[in-house]
Order: sequence, then C-alpha cells, then structure tokens
Amino acid sequence: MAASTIEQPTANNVLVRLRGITNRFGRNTVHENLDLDIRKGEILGLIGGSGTGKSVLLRTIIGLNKQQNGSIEIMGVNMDTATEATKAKVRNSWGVLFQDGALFSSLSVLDNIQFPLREFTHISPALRESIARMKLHMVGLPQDAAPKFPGDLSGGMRKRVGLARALVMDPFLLLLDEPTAGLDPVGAAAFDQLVLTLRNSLGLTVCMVTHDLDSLYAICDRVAVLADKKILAVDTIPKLLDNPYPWIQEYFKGPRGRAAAFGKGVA
Amino acid sequence: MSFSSPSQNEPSPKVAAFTTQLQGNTLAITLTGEWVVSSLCGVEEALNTKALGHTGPLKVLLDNITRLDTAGALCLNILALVKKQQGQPLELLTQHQNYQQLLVASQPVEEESKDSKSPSRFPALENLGKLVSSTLWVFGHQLAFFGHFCTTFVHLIANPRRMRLTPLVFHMEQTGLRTVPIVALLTFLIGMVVAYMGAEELARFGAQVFAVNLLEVTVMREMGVLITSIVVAGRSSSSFTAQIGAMVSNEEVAALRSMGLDPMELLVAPRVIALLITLPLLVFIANIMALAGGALAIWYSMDLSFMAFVDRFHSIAQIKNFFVGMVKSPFFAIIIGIVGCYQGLNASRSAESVGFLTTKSVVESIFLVIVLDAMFAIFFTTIGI
Repeated sequence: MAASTIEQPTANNVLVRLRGITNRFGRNTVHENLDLDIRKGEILGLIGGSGTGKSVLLRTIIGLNKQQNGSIEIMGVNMDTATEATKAKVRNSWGVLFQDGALFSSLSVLDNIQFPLREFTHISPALRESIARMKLHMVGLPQDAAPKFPGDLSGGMRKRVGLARALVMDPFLLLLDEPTAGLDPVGAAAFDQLVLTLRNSLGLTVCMVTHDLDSLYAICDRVAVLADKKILAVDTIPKLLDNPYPWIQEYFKGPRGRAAAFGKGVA
Repeated sequence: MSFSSPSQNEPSPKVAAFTTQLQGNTLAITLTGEWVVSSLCGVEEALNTKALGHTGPLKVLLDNITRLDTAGALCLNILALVKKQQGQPLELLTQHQNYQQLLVASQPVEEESKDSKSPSRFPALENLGKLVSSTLWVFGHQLAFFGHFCTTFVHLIANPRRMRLTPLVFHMEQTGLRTVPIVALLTFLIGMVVAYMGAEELARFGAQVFAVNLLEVTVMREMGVLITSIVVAGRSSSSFTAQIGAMVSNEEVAALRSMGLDPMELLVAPRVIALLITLPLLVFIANIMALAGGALAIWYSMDLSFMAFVDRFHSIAQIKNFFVGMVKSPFFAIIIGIVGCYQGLNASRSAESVGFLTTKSVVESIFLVIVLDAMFAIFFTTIGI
C-alpha cells in the first residue's frame, strides 16, 4: 500500500541530493564518493551493518558533520555554498528525530514541542499551545502527558514526543534515526503506522535509519543499502532481494529477514 | 495522495492575508497567500477579530491560498469551533482535496480536564506542611543511609579482607594527595591574615606579642580544620556526587545491585574511609602551613625572627588546642563523604539531576560542617576544654 501512494520518480522531484560525499575520521574513511537521492514523498530506509556510518550520513545531511568532499543539495539549495539565511530556511523545513528523542530535560513535554514555534515564529501563545496539543494528539499521546518532564516518560513516549517536536514546524523532510529501536513490537508497529499516516496526510518525505526489518517491509518505499563506504543499492525490497551482493542476501535472506518477509508475504 | 502544494520547493515565506466581502447577511472571507506556521503571526489575530466581530453566518474561501499546513488548518478549525459555540455557522470552503484532508486532520484537541482535587483553602499552610514532611523524610532517609554505612563499616572492620584496597588508595590519592597544594596555600594565606590582623589590633594595647597566642588558638582549634573541611567538601563531595550520580544514571549501580553487590560496600565505603584517613592528615598539614604563614606575617610586621617565634610558640602552645582541632576532622570527613555519596545515589536517570544534586551536595556538606563545628565549639566550652 505504501508504494502505490508515491509519484513516479522524475528528475526534479528529488528533495535531497548527495553527490560524492566523503567522510573521514582520522585515518578511518567512513564514506567515499557516496551518492544518494531522496525523492519527494517517499519513505526511504537506510540500512547497513554496524559501523558503516548510517548515523554519520544522517548527521552529514543535517549539517552536524561536515563532509570532507562532495555536495549536499536539499530542496534545490546547496548547503555548502548557500547564504546563512537560505540555509536557515532549509533547516526550518526539516524535522529530525534523534535516537532517544533528544528532548530538553528542563522543559515539559508541551514546552519541548512548542520550542521551535517559540524560537522561530511570533504566533500567539494560545495558538502555539493548540498546535502543540494537536501534534501531541497526532503522535498518539494522551493530553495528560503534556505537563510531564522527559525524565518521567518511557522510551517509546520520549520518541513520540521527539517526533511531535520534529513535526511542529510542518517540515517537508523528516529524518529519523532508528525510530523503532528499543520499542516493543506492538509499539514499533504502531510507530511505523504513525510515520506512514503522517507521510500520507501531510505529504512528508521521510528518511529513516533503521535496523528493523519489519519497519522496512511495512512502510519503506525504497531501501538504501550502505556498505563498502558507499550506497551499494537503492531500490524496492523485492528488487533488492535479487541483488547478488552477499551482505544484502544475508540481510534479507537470513533467519530474521525471512521471518519479516514471511510476515509480509513478500518472499 | 501526496499533498505537496505547488510552491513546496521554495521555502521563501509569502505573507498570509485575507479580504472580506459582505454578501447579504453572510460575510465571505477570502484567504490568500501562504497559511503556514511561519506566516500566521498577526494575520491570525486579525482574522479572529474580524470573524468574531461579525454576527451572522460566515464563509471562508480557501481556494486562493498558495499553501496550507496543519498550523494554518488548525487556526481555521479553532475559529470555526468558536463560532459554532456562539451559534453562528462558519463554513470552510475549498475545492482542493489536499486542503480538505488537512482540515480534517488538524482538529483542535481539548486539554483534558484537570483532576477534580479541590484547591486547598490554606495554600500557605499546605505548603508549610509539605515542606516539613519532606524535610523530615529526607532527614530520616539520610539517617538511615548513615546507619547503613555504619553497619557496613563495622562489617568491613571485622572482615578487613572485604575492603577494596585499590579504590581506597585511588580515592585517598584523589581526595588527599591532590588536595594538599590548594589546602596548603589557602591555610598559609589564612595564617598570614590572622597573625597580621592580630598583631595590628593588639599593638594598640601594646600586647603585640600575644599575636602568637591568638594565632595558636585560632589556627589549631578552628581555622585549620574548618578551611580544610570546606575545601574538601567543595572538591570531594561534589566529585563523589558526580561520579556516583553518573553511575546511577548509566544504570551501573542497578547492575551492581542485580549482581547482589552492595553499592554501599563498593562505592560508598572506599570513598568515606579514604576521606576518614586523609582529612586528619590534611588538617595536620593545614595547621603547619597556617602557623608558617603566621610566622612569616609576624616576622614581617613585628620583626620577630622565626626562631623567636618558635620559642614563644613553644612556651605558650597547649596540646589540647591541637587535639580539639584534630578530633573534629573525622566527623567532618564522615559528613562530607556521606552527603556526597547519598546525593549521588539519589540521582535519577536524567543527566540534569546529576548536575543539580552536585550543587546540592556541596551546599549541604559545607552547611553541615559549619553547623557541626558550632556544636563542637559549644560542647568544648561547656566541658571546659
């Protein structure tokens, strides 16, 4: 159902364009000459073994990690050459969910969600609170969570609040770092559905780093495989299953991959 | 079913605006521009004023806007809700399927009714009661913690082989050896100040030479031990809290407990015992340094040579003053160590709590050290030492 909702790929509906990205830490090269396109309206899964630099790639897109080489273009803006004002506009039009939510521990849930509104807009406090409460409702949390502090929340709730904060500025692009890691299967499936619903109703583009095979099968339109310091393949899962690269075969055809595929009736 | 509006690729904000037209009894409001979160400021209030000022049916036409997001849709929905509660219909009209769906998705959410607990009639009294009960609770808890430490300590004395030597020596180095320079310098300066001020004041009575007596009593009984304890409280109490607090928030302490190990024996005892050993040694060093500083000041201000100072000191010094100062130091060591470790173990999972508790442990340990010192002063005066 996920695949049917996206438009056919054309040259100019690429939202994020990475070209020739090279990341090096000391003598350790993480990415070399890496290319990746994220298309508008799709949910792209980013997979790869531990230590292949999935999170580094995400941080490079966000601009938290400066690449040694290559260019990043987001919504047609080159993030290396654009003026600070243009880059600020781009930064306001993406939402990022870090692994553990990265909530501000000194602010309540409601204040956490309102934080970007308070910083970047001048809308009235009453409407600000209404927006925050609506987002809280959208991510499936009860309103009585609003006055709580991040320390009082469970891991799954923290992720949902983090997602609400990422969504509050109505971003075009949503970047998720392992959104379902550490959630129970029911919670993880609900989170997957939530991302899918939000994409469908708000027209978001989503890029998620994940280890969760079930999420890949359930919601990702395409999956990018990070291995050998570059994106080895970007494709739909059925096509990736035919890819002869050993790691991909092991990933999807291993015991866990088979179980997830069986659950979805793909393999 | 992608809702990307045509201008999605250009994030340049275009102003939201509206025009109104009276059609008979109905006020038609045509919205233009981008009704998104970044452009709502001002225009939202203006729209509300206009719409709520009109008594009669309203129509809001959305077809001319270039972009809508959930915030814009929400503010229109809230307006519609308010008008509906006033008994006046407000229609949101649009041909765009995207906008219709956004309007459906962005409904205002009511804050859940606050719990029906009736507000207290005497809030000040209630707060006072809460403060008293929580203070008593904390006091009882700390007392229990101290008791637990005492039983562990006795247990360790009875079974010295259970004592962890490596952490003990490590903490002795951290809290003792590395504190020597700062304690030595500070007490040297304090000794100089006490002797110098004493000599200046006593010179008015021609009793300048009693500056040595003053120095002996002040330094040996109070200053040496108090200054050292305050420095150690600021330095070690905070680091105990930070170390143990970080371990708690990293679930290391929970891991220890799950293995059936007692954090009291593993974490608290080595730290407190290390302080118990090193603080008296530090006080001794502090006393010597303060006397040396005093000797220097007296030499400078009274032209009393160092050997003459030693002679004078030897003839007036009373050993009881030295012991009064030294006997306090183990008590202060226990207070500093216990408070630091107690606060550390109190940390929660959030990193913020560790920072908060570190401050708290420093303030509390210095406070308790000074209070106990005052109690000792009264006690020693009463028994006539």
